Amino acid sequence: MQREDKTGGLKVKADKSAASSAIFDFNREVVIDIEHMDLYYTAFHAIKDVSMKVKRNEVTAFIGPSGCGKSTLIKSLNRMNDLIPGCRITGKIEIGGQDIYAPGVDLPILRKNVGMVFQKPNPFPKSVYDNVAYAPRMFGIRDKATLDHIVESSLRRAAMWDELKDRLNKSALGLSGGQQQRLCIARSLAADPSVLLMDEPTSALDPISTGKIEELCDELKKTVTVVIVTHNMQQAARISDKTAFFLLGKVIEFDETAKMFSNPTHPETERYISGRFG
Amino acid sequence: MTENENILTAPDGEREVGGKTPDEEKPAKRRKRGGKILVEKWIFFACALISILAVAAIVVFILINSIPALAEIGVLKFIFGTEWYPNGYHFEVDPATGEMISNNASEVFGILPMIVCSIIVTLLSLLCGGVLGVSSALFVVYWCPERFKKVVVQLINVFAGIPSVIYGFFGLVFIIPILRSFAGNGFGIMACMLVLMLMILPTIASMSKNALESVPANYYEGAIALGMTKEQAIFTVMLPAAKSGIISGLIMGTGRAVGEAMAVALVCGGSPSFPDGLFSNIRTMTSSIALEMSYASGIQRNALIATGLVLLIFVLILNFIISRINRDNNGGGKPGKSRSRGRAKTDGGAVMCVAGDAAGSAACVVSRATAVAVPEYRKKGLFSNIAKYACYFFTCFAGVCLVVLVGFILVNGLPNLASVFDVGAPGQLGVSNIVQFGNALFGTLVLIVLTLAIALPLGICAAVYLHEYAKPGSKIVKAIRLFNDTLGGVPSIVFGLFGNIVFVVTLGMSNCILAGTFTMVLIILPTIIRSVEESLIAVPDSLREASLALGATKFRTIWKVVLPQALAGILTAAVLSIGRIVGESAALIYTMGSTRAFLPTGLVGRGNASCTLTVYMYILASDGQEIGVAYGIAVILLFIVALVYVGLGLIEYFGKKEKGAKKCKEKIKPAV
Repeated sequence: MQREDKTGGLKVKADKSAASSAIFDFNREVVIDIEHMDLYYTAFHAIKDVSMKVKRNEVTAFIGPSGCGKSTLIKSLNRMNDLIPGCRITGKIEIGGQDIYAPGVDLPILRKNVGMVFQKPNPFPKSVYDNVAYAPRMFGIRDKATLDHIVESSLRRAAMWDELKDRLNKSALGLSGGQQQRLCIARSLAADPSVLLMDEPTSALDPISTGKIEELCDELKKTVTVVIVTHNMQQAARISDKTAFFLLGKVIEFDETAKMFSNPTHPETERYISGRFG
Repeated sequence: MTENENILTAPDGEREVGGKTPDEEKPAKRRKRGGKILVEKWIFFACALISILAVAAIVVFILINSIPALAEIGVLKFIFGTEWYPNGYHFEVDPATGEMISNNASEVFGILPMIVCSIIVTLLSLLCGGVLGVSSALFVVYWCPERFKKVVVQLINVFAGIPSVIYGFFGLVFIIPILRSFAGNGFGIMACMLVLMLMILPTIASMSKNALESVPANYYEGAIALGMTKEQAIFTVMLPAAKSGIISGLIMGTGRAVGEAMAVALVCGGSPSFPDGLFSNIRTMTSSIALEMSYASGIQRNALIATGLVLLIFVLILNFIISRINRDNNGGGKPGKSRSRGRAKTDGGAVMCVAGDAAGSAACVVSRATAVAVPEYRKKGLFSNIAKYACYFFTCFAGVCLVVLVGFILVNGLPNLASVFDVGAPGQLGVSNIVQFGNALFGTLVLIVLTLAIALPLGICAAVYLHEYAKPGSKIVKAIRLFNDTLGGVPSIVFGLFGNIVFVVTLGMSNCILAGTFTMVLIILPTIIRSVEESLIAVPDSLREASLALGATKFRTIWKVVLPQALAGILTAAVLSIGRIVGESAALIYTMGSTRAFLPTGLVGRGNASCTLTVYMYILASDGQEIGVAYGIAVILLFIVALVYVGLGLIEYFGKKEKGAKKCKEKIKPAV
């Protein structure tokens, strides 16, 4: 199975039948099912034969040295890799029982259900309220009371309603870095995703903000499945249920976090976790 | 006041300012640094002050020369008067014969119709040019296939550099005959609107493109990750984020439209009365000056200068708005303006807050801290898709218009090139076409050399002062920048009036090359200062530190290390200036003259008037006797513009080759 996305993925227009088939079932136990997936950037083989099953309402951490393909993998889970020209994927990724690289997949619906938080906070240059209400509005919610409710509950889920309730109309760019990142999380939550991907969400933040986001992850996994890429092994140990260790585009080990950090199976994992390389 | 006087008088004014800061606060430090640094600093400072002096002088001289007219006519009667009969004659072009008819009346000067027409024409052209320009920018940045993108961007820059006279000429020979088949004689509001629209379109497109490109890419990623289509992301996030830069571009386009004289003069029809429809002949403030200044004297001349004053006030207000916009945000539209290493722009962090419609919505009643299901119902982005195709359409339209413009002139001009070089058949002036062309070319070249010889050193010194010597963010630096931007926004016809008043009449130089040179220096100085300053900003601080750490003086560091690094930027400024000089007509026709029958024997004084190619072109076009020659000159001008942009491309190419990823691209902004 090999598909090349020349269109940048964004022009895919789902016809009615395809759209209806693209309904995800997030009540199953395995939410993300990756089978024998390979990914190439033009000629560079970035991900090599990765298979992995991510379970519902768990926090899964991807760790590994720079350039090992963990960010690439997380980005292919909501097809953000489509933005990169020359990116080609083979194998199968199923999310909610739906092959997300099948032709005719409705990308907006996929990305609405699989939210993403980036390394660098990227709030829009709009007010706090407009940032959070952005996705619901674009998905057709016009009713003010509903929007207000979504904004409030999303900010509460991101544990920042009390900080921001008096600043809803202020520019989001005036917030601190940590606040901006949590606002981005709230903005993703407002689209009501079932999976939340976080690509090194704390690497640009100070320790206190990092701590807040880590607490948040614990809270979030009650309602969503979280996949987080991190450079910080302690962070992975603290917040994740499962950990995947990547090296040179391969998953070396994927197991319970507790086991990974206490008794890794693979010697490479042991060497990395004990800080001998990376 | 000439340039030389400016230099001589400036230090006196500056001593008070300069004397305050270092002397009283840090006497010890000053002694250590020695006197030598201060000397060169003062010279640079004097150069930097020229823009302030120039703006002040323009306002003062235009005002003084307006006063006789304003006093005699009365300010209100002048501004709100609806009739304009200079010298008791009311000139009108007979649509049938094309001749001037005059009817006797008493001498009346009222410019309300011109003000109204200026505003109407500007707003209409802004509306059309704005829609086309912003659409084109969106297309180029987001939808244009990569391989065409570079070409299209270069084309936009070239179009922005085409002399306005050519736009006017195109209106005269192409647009007006078409309009004539609809109504009237073709001249008037519609023709002005179309010509100005074409003219400001590249400027707006270019600035909007810069604004869109400076929006951080991660906004786009963020929107896409939330499930937006590309179109939705562009129209709901990227476009609003670039808003301030685009508005700056629109206002700059407005300034260009309201200040354009020659192109409008060619197509407006010249009737100083209220318009009664889209096809009625009109006259704007600028075209009124351009049409009558050549023969005006006495109170009429003062009235024209007063018209210039009103125009100047309009433009100053526009400039004020731009500076407010740039101050209220971090200048999205001018990426080059954000100062690296925290110099000058301390307000970089303050970013526009788009509060707007969310106001008061904080009153949430429901406080359940759980998720609200967002339905998987999605608008298919209908609006965004329509907007996308509208962008495609408008871009195509704009492209076709501009291609038709160049194509039409080339197709008609190339066969006529021979008539430019015609040695026989002396025309009205008693000399053959080739002699006229040769003299105009000579005038252009001399003007370029002299203007650059004066303006480049001044501009470099001023930029060096602003970036290397001045205390960043100090009031005087802010003032200099403000006045520099203001000077850059003054319409060239006002420069023409100023040059005519000061150099030609007051200093008694009469129409001559030097008067044109001095006027031109003032016009291109702001561009040079900004351009050089941007290239100085691009020089990394580590180089300065390295040189200073080796014991070099500050001056030596600048001279041997910084300026050579900024060479590409300086050359870019020079080439841009050449483009601007070649394209200028309104400021030169009443300072340098329009004589191309003989070669001037000196630079200054009576009988040494000269002419540039663009002015020659304007005379040919407005005269209408030898349209063939005008086509030929138009082709030659297009060729020169193309050459200028090839030059810019070469500088960029070699600059990049030498210094890796140096950002020269931003400097290739069209001269406005």
